[in-house]
Amino acid sequence: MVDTISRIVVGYSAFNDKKLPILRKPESLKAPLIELSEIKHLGKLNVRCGKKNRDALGKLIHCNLPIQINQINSKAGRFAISLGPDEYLILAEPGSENQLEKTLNSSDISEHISVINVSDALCAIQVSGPKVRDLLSKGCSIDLHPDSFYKSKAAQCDLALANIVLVCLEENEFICVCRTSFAEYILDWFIDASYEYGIFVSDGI
Amino acid sequence: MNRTQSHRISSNSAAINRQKIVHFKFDQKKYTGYEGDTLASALLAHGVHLVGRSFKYHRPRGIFGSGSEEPNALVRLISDKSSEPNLRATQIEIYDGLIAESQNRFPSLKIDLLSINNVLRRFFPAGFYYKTFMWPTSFWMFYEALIRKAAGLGKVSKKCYESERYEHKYAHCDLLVVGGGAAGLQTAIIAAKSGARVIIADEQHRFGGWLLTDNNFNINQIPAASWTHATVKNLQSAPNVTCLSRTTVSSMMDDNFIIMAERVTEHLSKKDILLPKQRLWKVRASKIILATGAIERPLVFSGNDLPGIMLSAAIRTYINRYEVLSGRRAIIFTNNDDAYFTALAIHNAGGFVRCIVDLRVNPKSRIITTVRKIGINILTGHAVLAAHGLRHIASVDIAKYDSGKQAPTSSILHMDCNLLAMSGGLNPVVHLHSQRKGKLVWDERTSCYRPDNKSDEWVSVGAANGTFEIERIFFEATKIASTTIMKLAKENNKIKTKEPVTVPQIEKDKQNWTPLPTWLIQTGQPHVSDKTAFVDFQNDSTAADIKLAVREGYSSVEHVKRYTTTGMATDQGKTSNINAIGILASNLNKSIAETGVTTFRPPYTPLNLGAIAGRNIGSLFDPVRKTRMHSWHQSNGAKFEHVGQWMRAWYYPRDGESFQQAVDREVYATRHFAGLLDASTLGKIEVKGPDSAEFLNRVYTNNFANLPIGKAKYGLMLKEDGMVFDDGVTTRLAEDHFYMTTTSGGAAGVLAWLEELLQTEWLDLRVFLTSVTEQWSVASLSGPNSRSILTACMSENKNITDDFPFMTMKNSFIAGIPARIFRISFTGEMAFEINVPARYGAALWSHLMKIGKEFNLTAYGTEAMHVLRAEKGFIIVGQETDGTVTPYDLDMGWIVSNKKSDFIGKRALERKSMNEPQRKQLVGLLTADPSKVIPEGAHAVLDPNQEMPMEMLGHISSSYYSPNLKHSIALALLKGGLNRKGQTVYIPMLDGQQPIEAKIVDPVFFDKKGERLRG
Repeated sequence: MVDTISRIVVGYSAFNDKKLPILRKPESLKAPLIELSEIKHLGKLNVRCGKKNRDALGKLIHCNLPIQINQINSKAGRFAISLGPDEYLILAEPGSENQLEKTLNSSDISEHISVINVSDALCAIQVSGPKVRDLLSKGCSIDLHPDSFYKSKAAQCDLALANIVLVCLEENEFICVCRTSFAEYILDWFIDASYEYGIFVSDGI
Repeated sequence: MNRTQSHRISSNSAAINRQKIVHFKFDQKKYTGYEGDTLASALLAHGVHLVGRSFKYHRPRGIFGSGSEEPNALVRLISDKSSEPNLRATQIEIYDGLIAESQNRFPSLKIDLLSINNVLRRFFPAGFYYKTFMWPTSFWMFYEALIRKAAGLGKVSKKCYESERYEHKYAHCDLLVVGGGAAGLQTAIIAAKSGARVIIADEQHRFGGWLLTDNNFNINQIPAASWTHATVKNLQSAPNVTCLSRTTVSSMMDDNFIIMAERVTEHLSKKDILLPKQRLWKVRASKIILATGAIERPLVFSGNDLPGIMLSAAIRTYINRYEVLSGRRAIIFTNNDDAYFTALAIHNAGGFVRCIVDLRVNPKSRIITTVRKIGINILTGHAVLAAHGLRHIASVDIAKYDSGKQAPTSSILHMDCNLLAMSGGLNPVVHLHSQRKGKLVWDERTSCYRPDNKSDEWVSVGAANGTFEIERIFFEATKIASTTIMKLAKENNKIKTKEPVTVPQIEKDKQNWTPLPTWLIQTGQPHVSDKTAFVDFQNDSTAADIKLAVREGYSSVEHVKRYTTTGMATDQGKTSNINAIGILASNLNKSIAETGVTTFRPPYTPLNLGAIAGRNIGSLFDPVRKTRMHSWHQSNGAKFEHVGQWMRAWYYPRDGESFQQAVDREVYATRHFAGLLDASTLGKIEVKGPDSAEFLNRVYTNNFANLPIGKAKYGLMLKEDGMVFDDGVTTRLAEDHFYMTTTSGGAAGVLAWLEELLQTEWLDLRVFLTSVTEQWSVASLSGPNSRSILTACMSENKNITDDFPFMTMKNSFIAGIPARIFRISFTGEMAFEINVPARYGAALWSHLMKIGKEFNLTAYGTEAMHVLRAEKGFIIVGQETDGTVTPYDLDMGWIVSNKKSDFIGKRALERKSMNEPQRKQLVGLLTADPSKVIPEGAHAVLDPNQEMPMEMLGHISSSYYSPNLKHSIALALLKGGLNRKGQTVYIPMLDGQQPIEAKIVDPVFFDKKGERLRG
């Protein structure tokens, strides 16, 4: 029985039944200027805690929680994204979320914190390419200039009509974290908005 | 056959490429022009002035200006797939294959049937529609259709969104410069050198503004045209500068949020299919410099709207920039020096300036001397009293004129001409400043309203600031740019102020910019002449209309604007407002400063609706959210309904079943065997922290403090006004941990409201919230067989289902999937809501359906769910409630704790009016005819034979056919309903159908004791 289930889980895509890969590109271009893929099965925890327990939590996660809001820290494949003064989103390697949740919730400070597994509630979409900032600026109202939104910056914002958490990994590489049910809309929006640049949507990582 | 460009002159304008001929059509006729032409300049090159009929009187109208101020030349552009109305010919760049049509005429521009309005115009004074169509009131429906047909300008294409692409674009900058003329370019180039992020936007396709018209002078020892060219090049190559031509800044809002429309591909003949037609920019700028220039004022005299009468500077622009002489026998009518430059330009282009009519008695300046020297006749202290002509100006009446007494003082001199240039002074373009509620001050020297420049966020410079002399414009622009950069540098260390800034040297004759303000040329017969002395050309309002308004007692400038509609057309009074205020002021015997000015509102020029919508159209209009079980529903033939953004399975018709048959089957199966509902969309919030119980106690009306671990409780949430806001079941998972559910549609609102309470009201509570709506997929298993199915599905501890009381929760595994199982029910049957991590949602559903087969398990949709819960009298928030319903109105007083010291809404519930017996209250209705289903939203009355309007008792909130009761059932909110049980009500129907008779009953129709639920 478990095997049946895990097979289903491996095939699980936030984009539902969309047939991937998708390649859309203007004839004038050799290759599309935008690449997009879902980063599947990432562990995701919503962590809420005050200043007092921030550092202790960081130790348990093996990745410090950022002091500044709208900032990310990353260590050993884990990301800690600050969403607000007392709210963090942890992205962790696939499958690690249950153990991590257990560890944090059974720690000394568990009374003062909230650790909730949101691995299935959210999905992560990676989008990159030389025109990625222009593309995002068609639907995202934050200042995406490289001087203002650079590597290790994150922000809760809108992308067209969906809420996302936008994370800057590299100058031209971003992760959009959104509610899973918005993934299909976001994919459709990206395909439409990249009309002039061309886009390649791969089957997911 | 192509017509000849009879009015094209030879010159060497950089804006026109004589090598590239462009072919286009206007009103089905073929024309040619050159690359760089606007539709207006290309038509004028053929001697075509007449391009439209006016809005109200259908008078012939010609090209009047040369830019966005144009009130007359509104045309429709036509492409294969769509058309766009009300575009200014003066701003349309021509391209090969362009097709344009004139508007507001039938059957043709030359012969327009509605021009009868012009003959009858004495019957159409200001306020005509208000005065005429007021009575009898019932006739309005009849009048409306006629007026709608005659009124309005242009026709909209219905299907353009399918073929045209409009995009949105967000941008941020340190400095936004609006306008790319002398002032704009000078500020932008200084800002560019500082390293600041600069956006410079100009509505024209070339930067330069009036430097494209008047450039016969030197800036820093180089010709002005070369300076402009070099400056634009420098800006375009600077990495920190975004240069946007063809971009109209239409709105400036709080916190320097700016909307601007960039025309990306409209001007191309072969549209670049990858790029949008327009791009709507939404910009946040730290500082804004408004270098929007100025617009020339017309003069107001009888017949001033005839084709061939144009703004003086526009005529000069057509000569200098577009190489077009608009007419060969010209008369100039002016109150200032600037029109003399037009006279000179006409003369130099080979035209004949018959005379210059100057209102000033003894004007002196260098340009006047120059013009006099070349032999142009100057009539000082004179005025043009009237212009005559049928479809084009043919002659004018000129007389000596005393501006002080506002009267002609000599006999009339007739003079023929085919072009009249008029110049009444300049109006700074203060629209954006005014949109931000910036104040305007009347400047006596230049006779114009200019911005007070008191904001720290934006500043006007150059002509937009009432500074019209070119050397002063450069001085002011340099100074203001430097100050602005210094301010920006304080907040941003990337911006440098080191480089010394110098004011460019200008070599040009000084020009006198003091006009003689004369707002209306009066004749001996004002009752005749005022009626054709146009103030607002686009809305056809005249000096007579303004005078009438004053006679009828209007004194406020805002009221006169609305009464006469002056300044209310699509051009927003760009050429008319100040003249109207001038005429109003002199008729009120007030100064202009005392009379005041109206507020300009966005947009500066009309925005295309497509640009506003952007790509939020078609399938991107609203996100569609699907549950993890969606594909099962789809492959099993489900019909869907939209609940908020969610798409939920509505019902599952089997081979040929109707809606009612499918719902009846699903309802029956759930009551008799078992049903499965996808309840994944329910809002879910994890509430965690030591004070969670206290928190829930405050937000729900009932008591949650003593809820044991593993137990669930239904709760009602009110807003401060005591009205029901949301409901749901909350379960205690641990001492400090609860799992709250909300309605599907209310989930986001509830979370936001609870967060707000925690962050702003109850900072003392140690509670954290996390939305987990999408973390869990939920299958709601309901019906007498549900326990057996659940047991069969359990992978371990099968016996836990034996002792699983109502309103409790257990953690277990179903088919190996970790699950939170709640024994709660929305159907009135024994039911289990099985929550699993969403990734297993589809697997859980299929597994349940597979195992459930032998227990007659049936998938049911939201419609069956509605029927099942209505049979039990369970409310749905948003259906039985609408923000005006209290728990008592729902007869749910039992859920309101009177032991708790406080909860949200408690105080409001204690208000006296809350116990008013005639409030609408929830009851059930049983129709006399069991098969008759009352339409939802219908109203109930006690006496169906009473006279209309009937006294209504309340409305039907839910209504279904119940296959279990074999009877139609309904829930209704009726005045004093709780005390009316047993009474008969009638529901009057539309279309002559008989009223439906129904009996008021208890809203619980089925299993009143709830034995099945707990069973």
